[in-house]
Amino acid sequence: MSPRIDRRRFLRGALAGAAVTVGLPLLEVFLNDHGDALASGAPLPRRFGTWFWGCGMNPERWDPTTQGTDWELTPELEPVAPIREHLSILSGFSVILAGETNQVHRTGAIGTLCGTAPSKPTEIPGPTLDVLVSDAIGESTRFRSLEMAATGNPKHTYSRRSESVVHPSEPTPLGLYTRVFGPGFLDPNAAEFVPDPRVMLRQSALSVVSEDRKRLESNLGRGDRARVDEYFTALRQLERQLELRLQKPPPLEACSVPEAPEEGRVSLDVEDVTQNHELMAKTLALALACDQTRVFNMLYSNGASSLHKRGSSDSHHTLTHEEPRDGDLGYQPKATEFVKHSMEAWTTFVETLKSVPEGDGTLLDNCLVMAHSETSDANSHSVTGLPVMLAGRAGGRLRPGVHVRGVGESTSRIGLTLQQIMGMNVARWGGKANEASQPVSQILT
Amino acid sequence: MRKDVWLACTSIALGAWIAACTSGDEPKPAAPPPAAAKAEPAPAPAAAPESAAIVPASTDTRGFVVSRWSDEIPREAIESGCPDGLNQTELEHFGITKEELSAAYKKGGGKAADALFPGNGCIDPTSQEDPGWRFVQGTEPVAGMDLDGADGADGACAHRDFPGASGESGIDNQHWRLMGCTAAYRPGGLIDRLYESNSFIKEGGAPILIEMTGVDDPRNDDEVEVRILSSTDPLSIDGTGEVMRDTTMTIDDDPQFQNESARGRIVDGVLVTEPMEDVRIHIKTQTMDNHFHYRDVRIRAEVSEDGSLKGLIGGYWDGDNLFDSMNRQYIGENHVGRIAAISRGYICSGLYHAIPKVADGHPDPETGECTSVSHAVHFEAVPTFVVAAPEGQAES
Repeated sequence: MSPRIDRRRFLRGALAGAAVTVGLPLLEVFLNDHGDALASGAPLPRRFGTWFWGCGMNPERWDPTTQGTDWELTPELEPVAPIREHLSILSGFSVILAGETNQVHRTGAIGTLCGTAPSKPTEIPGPTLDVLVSDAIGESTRFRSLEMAATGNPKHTYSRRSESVVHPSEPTPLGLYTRVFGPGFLDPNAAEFVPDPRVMLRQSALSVVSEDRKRLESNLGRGDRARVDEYFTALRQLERQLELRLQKPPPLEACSVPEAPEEGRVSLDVEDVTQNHELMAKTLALALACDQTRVFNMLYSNGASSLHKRGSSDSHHTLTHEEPRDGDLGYQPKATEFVKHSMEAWTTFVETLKSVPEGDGTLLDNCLVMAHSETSDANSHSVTGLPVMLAGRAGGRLRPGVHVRGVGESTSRIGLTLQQIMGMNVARWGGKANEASQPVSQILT
Repeated sequence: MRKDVWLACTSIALGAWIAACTSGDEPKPAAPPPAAAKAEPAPAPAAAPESAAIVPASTDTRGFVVSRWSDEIPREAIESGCPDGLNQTELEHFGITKEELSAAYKKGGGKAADALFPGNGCIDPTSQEDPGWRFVQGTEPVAGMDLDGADGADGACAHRDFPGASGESGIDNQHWRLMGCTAAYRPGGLIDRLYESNSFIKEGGAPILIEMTGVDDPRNDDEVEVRILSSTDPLSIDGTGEVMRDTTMTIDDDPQFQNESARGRIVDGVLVTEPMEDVRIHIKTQTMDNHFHYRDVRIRAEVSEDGSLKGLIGGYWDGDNLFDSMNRQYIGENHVGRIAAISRGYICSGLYHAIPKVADGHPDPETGECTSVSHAVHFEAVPTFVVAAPEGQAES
């Protein structure tokens, strides 16, 4: 008798009176997928993530001039030297406006993540890249994805299914830890497994709600049906994730439960943000190793970066506009200091993923992380030549260590390529002038 | 006689070219700018003027799309121009700290932040007392044109001219006198860096076309017709990141942007035009959806061997439009003119009161007050195919 069948039988028995509302067919689907993935010795899961920093860089000091594997560490890329071999640099790619207004500090990020330049300040022209990927790979883990903001503001998130469905960020390291490793965490390496009766009830309730869907939809117009569909998609994900918590997770060698971080100071002070980001990175790395999620979005600083130096009232964003360029240096020294902080934090993040052994390599080897910003030159809010970096190997599908210059090309080509690397059957992606059908082949293995 | 190919032009360095082009070898300046009403009425939709009837592309028509555009900001010898320092921001003037502004915003949003100030001079410039303004005092060389044919003026529209980069006299550029003591307009400041990045042009905020018709000889032609237009098409960028040549750009057939043409002539590869009375250019970029309204506009530009143009556009910037275009800035429904002015280093109400003090063109027939500000723009343009909009586009 297989362990999976045992598990189903246990649920039936344990549910007792509530069993009638648990969707058994869905459990079968789930168990097949999940059991096969982890019991058969299949490759370790690939993970996808984004890492965002605000207010870009100085293109003339950040963009390498040499393409291919011999790209040079430019002044603003010097902080990434320790992770150079794990990185690919994609420079020159743009969100093509093609007549759309550049919605300042927004078009660059949304255009990159949605593949289409928004027409209005609030428009989300399609699910963001992480949502598309999590729809494909994120349903077999406890969390569809994890969103984090080192700025301490849950509204600092770019992860959206639509204008109305937003995935808020976890704003503190302790909050992230509690969410992942607090109540509800099932240690895959624990000897015993007892499903939580509260989860069963929640899962059951959702099943009942789902049954009402058809009746509800029959009384709605097209627009409302679309909204309800979005709503039920989110509910369905929650339902699957609850189902998962009724299973005993398979053991994971790389998984270890960290100690809870201390409650730190949450502010927009760049020192606090950097410290909180580091703590979040460590928690996230172990959450990934414990297969709690396979998709994540880490935000180091928000678009129109609000970070500031301790004791200073000038934010990074303000400095990009108001600080004069130093005539001798040729750039804005105070604003550029924040670019350095951002590149250092990115390096810390990648090194943290690399520090977790997994299989024959490290967690980073099984990740694909895209670092990006909403502008290139922040003073002009330029969405031309946006800075993009990729880290990891995506389980052997991503080629690290190259610089690709994509002048005049849309960032949608990057998004298309990443979806294909993640195993999604996507031949073209993006809208209007940003539609792409050619992947960035230089980063494929 | 029609020529099938462009003749080679002698390349002239910009500095030498400016000297050549400001030495008086040009059509005589127009008579004093025509009187104009002070308040500029919104351009009424009307039938396009006859000259704006779409001219089919022909072999004697040359089209260009502007690939670079920047106000004149002199790079040298400007230290003595602002002996009293730079203009204050609204925060500095009213003694409000950024911490106070930030705290108010966090507490009550934009309304609470606005409540810190006595009125909003960007929306209603009369809601504040004139806070004063710091103008460029010196007479350091600047680029521009002698628009009025005189070296300075007294009486109505009194102003002091600047010398040109090569010592020529009579350069009219009151826009620099107005904005030169503002942080954003200093070399390395916000506006200077904005123009340097050229994203304003390359990201399609202002697809500006120049159409030259009647060209028999691109190097020497006594009579050509030139007009400045806007396009509805986005610019294309080539593999080097520059504006792509030889694309096709459609004329914006919105009646308000059907600018009149003016005569010009090309002498040894340098195009010089007579004044174009009213030129409106559609600007739609980032926080702006507006137009620039220039008056008595002339072009002086070198026609390069590769067919591109590089030179100056000189004229008078309508004062009301100058104020409006700088301060009518929105993100969605939110007015951000005040924040933009703080970032640029001026007070909206100060600018409003300052503009008439430097205005040197187009006196109001009733009050005699000048209503426009002399101005100079550096520009470059590459060849493009300028085509008419399909009929009915404007209505649609």
